[in-house]
Amino acid sequence: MAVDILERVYQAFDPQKPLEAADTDRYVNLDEVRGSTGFVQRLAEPIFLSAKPTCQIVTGHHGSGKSTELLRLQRELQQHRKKPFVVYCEALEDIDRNDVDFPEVLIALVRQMAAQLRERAGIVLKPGYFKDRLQQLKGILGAPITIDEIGVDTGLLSLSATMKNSPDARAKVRAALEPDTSNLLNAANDLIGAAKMELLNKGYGDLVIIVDDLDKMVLRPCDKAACDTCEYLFINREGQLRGFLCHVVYTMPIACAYSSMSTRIANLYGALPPVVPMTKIATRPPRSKPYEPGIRKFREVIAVRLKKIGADSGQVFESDAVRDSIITLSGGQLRELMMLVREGMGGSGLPITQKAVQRAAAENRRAYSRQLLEEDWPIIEMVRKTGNLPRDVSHEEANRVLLDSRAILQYINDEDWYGVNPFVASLPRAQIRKRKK
Amino acid sequence: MSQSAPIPEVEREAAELAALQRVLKISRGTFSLSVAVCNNVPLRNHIIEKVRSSCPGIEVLSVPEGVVDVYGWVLSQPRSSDPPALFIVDIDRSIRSDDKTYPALASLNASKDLWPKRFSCPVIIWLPEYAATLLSIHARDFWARKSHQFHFSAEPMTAMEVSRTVFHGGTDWALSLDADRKQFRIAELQQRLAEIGDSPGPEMAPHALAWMNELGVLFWFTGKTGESVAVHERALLLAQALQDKEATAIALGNLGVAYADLDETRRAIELYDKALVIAREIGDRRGEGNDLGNLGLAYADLGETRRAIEFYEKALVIAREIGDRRGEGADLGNLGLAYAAVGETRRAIEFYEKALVIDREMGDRGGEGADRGNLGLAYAALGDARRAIEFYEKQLVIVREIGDRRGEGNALGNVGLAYAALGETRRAIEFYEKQLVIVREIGDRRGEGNALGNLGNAYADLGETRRAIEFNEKRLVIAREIGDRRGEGNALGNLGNAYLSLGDARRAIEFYEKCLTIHREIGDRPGEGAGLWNMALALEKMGQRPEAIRRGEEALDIMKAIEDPNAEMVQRILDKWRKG
Repeated sequence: MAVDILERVYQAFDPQKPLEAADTDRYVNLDEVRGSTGFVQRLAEPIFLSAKPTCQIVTGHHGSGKSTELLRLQRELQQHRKKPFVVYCEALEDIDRNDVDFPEVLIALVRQMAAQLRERAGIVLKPGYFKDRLQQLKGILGAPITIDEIGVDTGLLSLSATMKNSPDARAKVRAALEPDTSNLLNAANDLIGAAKMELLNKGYGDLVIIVDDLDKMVLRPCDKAACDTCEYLFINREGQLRGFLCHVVYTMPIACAYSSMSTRIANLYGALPPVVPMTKIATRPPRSKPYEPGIRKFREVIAVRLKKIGADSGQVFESDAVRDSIITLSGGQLRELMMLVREGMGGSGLPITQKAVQRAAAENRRAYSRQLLEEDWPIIEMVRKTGNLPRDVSHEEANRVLLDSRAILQYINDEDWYGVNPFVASLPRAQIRKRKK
Repeated sequence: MSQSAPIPEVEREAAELAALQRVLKISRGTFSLSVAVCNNVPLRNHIIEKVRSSCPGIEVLSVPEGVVDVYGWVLSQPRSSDPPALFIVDIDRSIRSDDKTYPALASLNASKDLWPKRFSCPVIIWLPEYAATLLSIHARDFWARKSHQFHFSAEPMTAMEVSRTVFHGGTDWALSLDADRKQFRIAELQQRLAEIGDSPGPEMAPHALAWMNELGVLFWFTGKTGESVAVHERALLLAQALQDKEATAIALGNLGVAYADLDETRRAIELYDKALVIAREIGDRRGEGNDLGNLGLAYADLGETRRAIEFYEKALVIAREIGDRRGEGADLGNLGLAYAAVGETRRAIEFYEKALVIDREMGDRGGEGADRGNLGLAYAALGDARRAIEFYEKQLVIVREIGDRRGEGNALGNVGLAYAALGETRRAIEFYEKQLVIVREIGDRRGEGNALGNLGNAYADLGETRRAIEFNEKRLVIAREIGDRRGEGNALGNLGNAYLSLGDARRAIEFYEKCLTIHREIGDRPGEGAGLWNMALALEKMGQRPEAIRRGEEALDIMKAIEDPNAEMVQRILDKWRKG
């Protein structure tokens, strides 16, 4: 029996899995403590109001609940009287996050669109112009890419798998597709148009594609231009990302929203990307204090999950203090909360003891102490004292890395402010390494 | 465009020919050195035959490929004791561009003092233009010895230059489908558009516009030009109904391209102008650049090359400003074409090479193919047909690689034209026939017309005039069917030439008359100039000199206005007629 509850709790606190939109029992609306009132609303409105296809970008910290919000967006849109068909595209199924460029994004988008149209609407898209192109790629890769009149999704599956797993194949395919990107986009739009006609016939409204996971792309210098891969994709490839003739929502790495890129992003895509922020569980520095409404919400997040599996708090946490210390350590990050529960279980089994929480905290501190550099420290100090990041170009790279690694967390209330990750905050400065030259 | 052969080749060189014959007479029995420039092997052979028939005994020595010591080789050839003149041909085969030291030219230079000692007759070296240029640079002393120079230029080859018309909304893949699948696609698009109806909702409107665009281009390509215009007009109405300015500008631009292809160039210009106004209003710099580039192409079609250059330069400024490298490559290529049109071939080559650098950098294979094709044309215009063929072959590799069958047809036609210039007419015909197969396969009616025109010209070169007439008549039918007015004009001009060479000047004049009407209607100034000059030559042949001079003067006015490189030659012949 005890083993059974262990398993159930462990599964209930899965940090990798966003809540399904239909999973309303476990969903806790955090808008008011995040300060992101109407995240879903903000994205949905342009889609319903615009006469033309829209292209929106969203971002947020790892683990802030972005995917959960996007799944809610999907559900909200689909429940609207206009009945759009919403494709939720998990890009990492088709893409290697270490190396992302537009052709793969396009292939992932088209493949998953076709697959979901087949599964959920019984629409089978013919390969159209993709047929000829893929036959050619077959020759280039020497790989068995079969594409026939059965459907475009199956044909693209073997291509995307080959591209995801072999950097060599990826390079070849890109070289072959690059000169033809606009044709490729036209071919995709042709399919999108055919899909929409069938959708309308089946009583659906417009087509919306949510491309999740692009926020997880690894930032590294781009081979093709003097910028990083994220900037290359979202700025240099902007015309192509915006080129699909349906509504599209992309996720973008949070670090890009807090760099000199941000104004260009706003200019190109028409708005600053909405951010799914951390839940506020402490007030803004200086004199940062626990923020009771946020803490209450996180208690609720834990409670509804336990209720769903028929467990109670006493079985899982040694005391309410243990539960609250986990909440404090999470820094308002939902995923971190889930991970800490799991780590606590790893340390002591159930119920989770204070000692197990301390052990988990120590592990995390050690992980940050390995990452942080001497030059990061003045920034951390500034955040601790003011709740702001230094806003000059010389710090941009460091800011980006700190946000990306979540050593610094971003909150939104009436204004944007920053806080130091609780693990980092308790880190003695002496442990910080000198920068390696 | 096929080689339009508007000017019968030999007649228009009458003045040069007379000069050559005079020199042979004066210089008989004493050494003199002359260079005769002629880019076209059949023309060269034709002229040589003509000279030999009036002056029997002239020796013609064809230097085999790879000979370095031309003097020694000529000396080693068996000769009759006292020829009236010695013609040396084909030295260019030994001048390879891959060895920049040009050993054959260096050796020729070193032999400059030896020739007068061993030969006591006029020596005339026949070279294409590029080789003459190299001779003047790499064999300076030898060149300085020459006492006479003659220039026999074939009519400018208006082969299939690849201008970069911008179709808004890429339809490259559609154009590369084979003919059956094009018909299938046309049916599919028609069905989709019928289903969507004339007032689509916001979901389908952008697709309706894209599909109308594709359908319009497919109709145009398969020769249904009227349908093409109708579809683009529907797209324009839809875009206007949606109050979508961007789509309106695109539809206007596409309609302009369609009318330009119907040779209604003035109308095309009006449409591009409207599109340009909108593009500027909505701040669409890329669209603005496209429209400026298309305006340039339209003015180039009208023979207003200087004006075309101004537009390309404006487009180039925008492309550079917004970092549109592809646009930059296209604009540079078009500038090259414009300079080539006014005879500034070397400058054209510079532009094509710049365009090539950019297109390669951008991985724009289509652009690269176009650049290589245009470079081939430029070298062909300089008489270096072999080098031209090298470029065309690279172009062929690229167009096959990217599945651009239309480009493949053009490239094959150009290879054929180059072989024709080398006098290998049978081989040229082989390439035209390959071209014909491809254009028919992809349903490219315009290309089919070009291939038929090329075949007609080739058979005319072979002296099979009846067959030439057959091909040109077929070509005429296609041109009329698809509304290709320029092609119609060229076919009529070629038919005129054919009847003139059959000695039927009266009939020739009838065709020239019709041809002239078309060139005037579509505002094709280069065509009008050539047409008038053809009339003048035919009238001269009929003994109506005053009328011939009158037409010739009209032709000259136009040629001067458009900076036609042939103006000078026409002037000389006219002077001679006036004196005689």
